[in-house]
Amino acid sequence: MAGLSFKNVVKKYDQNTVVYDFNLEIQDKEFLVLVGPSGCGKTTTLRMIAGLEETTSGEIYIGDQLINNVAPKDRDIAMVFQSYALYPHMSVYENMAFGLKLRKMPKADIDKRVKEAATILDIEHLLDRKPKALSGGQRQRVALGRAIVREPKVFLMDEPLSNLDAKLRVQMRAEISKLRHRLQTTVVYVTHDQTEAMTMGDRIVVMKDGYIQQVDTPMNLYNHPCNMFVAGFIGSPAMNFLRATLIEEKGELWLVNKELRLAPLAERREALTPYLGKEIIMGIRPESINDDLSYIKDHPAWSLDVHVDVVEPLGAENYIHFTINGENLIARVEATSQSKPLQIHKVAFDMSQARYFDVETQAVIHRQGYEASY
Amino acid sequence: MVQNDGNQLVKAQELARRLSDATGVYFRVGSERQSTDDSSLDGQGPGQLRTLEVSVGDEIVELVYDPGSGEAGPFTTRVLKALAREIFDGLIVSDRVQLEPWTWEKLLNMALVEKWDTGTFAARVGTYQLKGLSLGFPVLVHCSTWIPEVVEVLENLFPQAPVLWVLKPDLFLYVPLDRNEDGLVEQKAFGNALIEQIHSLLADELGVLATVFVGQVIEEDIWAGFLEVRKLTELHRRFFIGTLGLAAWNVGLAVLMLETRSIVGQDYIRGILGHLNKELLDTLRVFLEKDMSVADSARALYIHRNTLTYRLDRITEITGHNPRRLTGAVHLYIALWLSNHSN
Repeated sequence: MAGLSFKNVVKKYDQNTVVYDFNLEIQDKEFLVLVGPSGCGKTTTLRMIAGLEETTSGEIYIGDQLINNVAPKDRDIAMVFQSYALYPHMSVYENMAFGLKLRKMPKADIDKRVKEAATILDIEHLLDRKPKALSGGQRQRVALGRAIVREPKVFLMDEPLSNLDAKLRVQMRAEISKLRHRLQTTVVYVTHDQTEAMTMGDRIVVMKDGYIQQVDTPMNLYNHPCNMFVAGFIGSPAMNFLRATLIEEKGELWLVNKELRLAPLAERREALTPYLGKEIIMGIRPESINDDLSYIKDHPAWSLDVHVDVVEPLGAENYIHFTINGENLIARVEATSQSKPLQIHKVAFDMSQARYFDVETQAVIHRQGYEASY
Repeated sequence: MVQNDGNQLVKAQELARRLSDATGVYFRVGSERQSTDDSSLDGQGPGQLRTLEVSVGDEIVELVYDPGSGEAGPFTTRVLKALAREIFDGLIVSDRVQLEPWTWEKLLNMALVEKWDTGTFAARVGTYQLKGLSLGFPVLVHCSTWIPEVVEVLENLFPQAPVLWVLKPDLFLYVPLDRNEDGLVEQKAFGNALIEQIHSLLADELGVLATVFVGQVIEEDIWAGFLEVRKLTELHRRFFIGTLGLAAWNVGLAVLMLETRSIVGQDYIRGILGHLNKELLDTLRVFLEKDMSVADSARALYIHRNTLTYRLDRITEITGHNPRRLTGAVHLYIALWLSNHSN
């Protein structure tokens, strides 16, 4: 078992840089998720760990060993992809054993490892079946089994759940989380799905355009995003953003913009004062907007009348889609909400949960109560 | 198995084949017709050709060979003639010598070296009575490093593939369609899946980075399929580098741009986008990605729709093309596409 280190890793294709100055320490047995939109460099980073792509510069270590010049097959890693290609004419047992046979492992050892992996994955009863006779989830387990039998130092998973339907994806997400606790191995997991990232990772690396945006625990990313990209990318429905000018009236700060007039929390005064008279962007999560009457009554300076476009009842809660100054926003409110489409409705913004961003740099202005992860 | 029926040409061809096997140098019978259409072969043919006169029964036959095509050698003419005599004697010692059958791989190899056109290939398929192929995909797998186990892995992944032609570090496969892939949509999904499956399996099992090229569905005309997938490699190199591979139906504008010199493309990009700053370029990219929807684009960019409108006006002023109108958007899209895909 081993951790991983990246030191100033850069990847270029000709003049086109796809990963910029990547520095990261991954702990032994950590489940680290690389997340970001298509083209952000996450898969390229994974391929560099696997040795499928050479780094243009910089160093990658597995444990203490520099692996830049180590052949892929000697890196002691195993990969799991979204496309779980199985050998169609081989049984599940043979599929799991094939990679070990290629590595000339003794038959008895192969048998032991395959049976152990089958037990871990709960597929002992499928060992004689051919891939055609398996469901999507069972096939994905076999693909995981092929990786497990190698007993690698590091598992690399490249969007392994993307091909599965929504229900199965949720199941397999939990399976993989369970599995990593049983295997006690370092896992680097690539996904574009922020829900997968949030639910599975010990830490998450958010990437965009080849740059690391933030490396943090799921809750830190959610509560203390370092910029608008992270704030908008993490969380579903996404954080709402509103532009407003910061002004001072009778010693109190206000955010104003046509239909908008909200008072930031007094504790934010120090951080916001340099922006007096300027435009800033306020971010607020859907669950921090509510329409509870007593809350509205207690917080008049945080309340607004809004025009409701759509109400989506989800059973346990409702999503209210509304508009302020032409911007579309979403509130996540109690299922008992009285909001109705195409009507004016009063909502309150929990300004203690509001985040503020610089219009130019899109960086967060202040991170109240933030504690960096290890 | 084809029997030695005494036909001189067949004997001469077999002699050429066995001589090729023995020396590693590629031989063919000199009188055999060659294609004059070399344009699609990108100069990958043989170097300086030489001829070798050998006796085949009562006749003198010319064998043509490329001394530089093999790793062994060089061989003197005398050695080659002696070897040819020895092989031919072996052929006629027994009147019932079993000649090895022609295979698709052997025919493809010959077509590549001799630069056949598709007509010649089709004629040879008939001559050598190769068994017909069902509908399938021509697939070229390019491996970053070659290890022999690549063949083993692919043979096991596609046990039904009738053609598996090794061209180190490439490998050409003909993957038949399943009955499940009747419709065009299913066929394309199957073809796209081939790219991911081959790539992921070779990476996982062998640590080999493979780039996979899938041509249009064909039947029989496997040489045309090979030429098509080989053309895809060039499109990939110019426009899609860094991706896992390319399917023929996903090339989009690239096929139009392939014949365009890169300098022309760069002039086009510069002429249209050259004066836009990063903010305006990002705005344009998102606006076109969001199908020219102002609301969706403003949301994706975290800006107010009025700010977006202002930026779109600036783009129109600077480039002379209005991204909100189809004609303007087409020009801007092509320039952006070229800019994103020019490796």
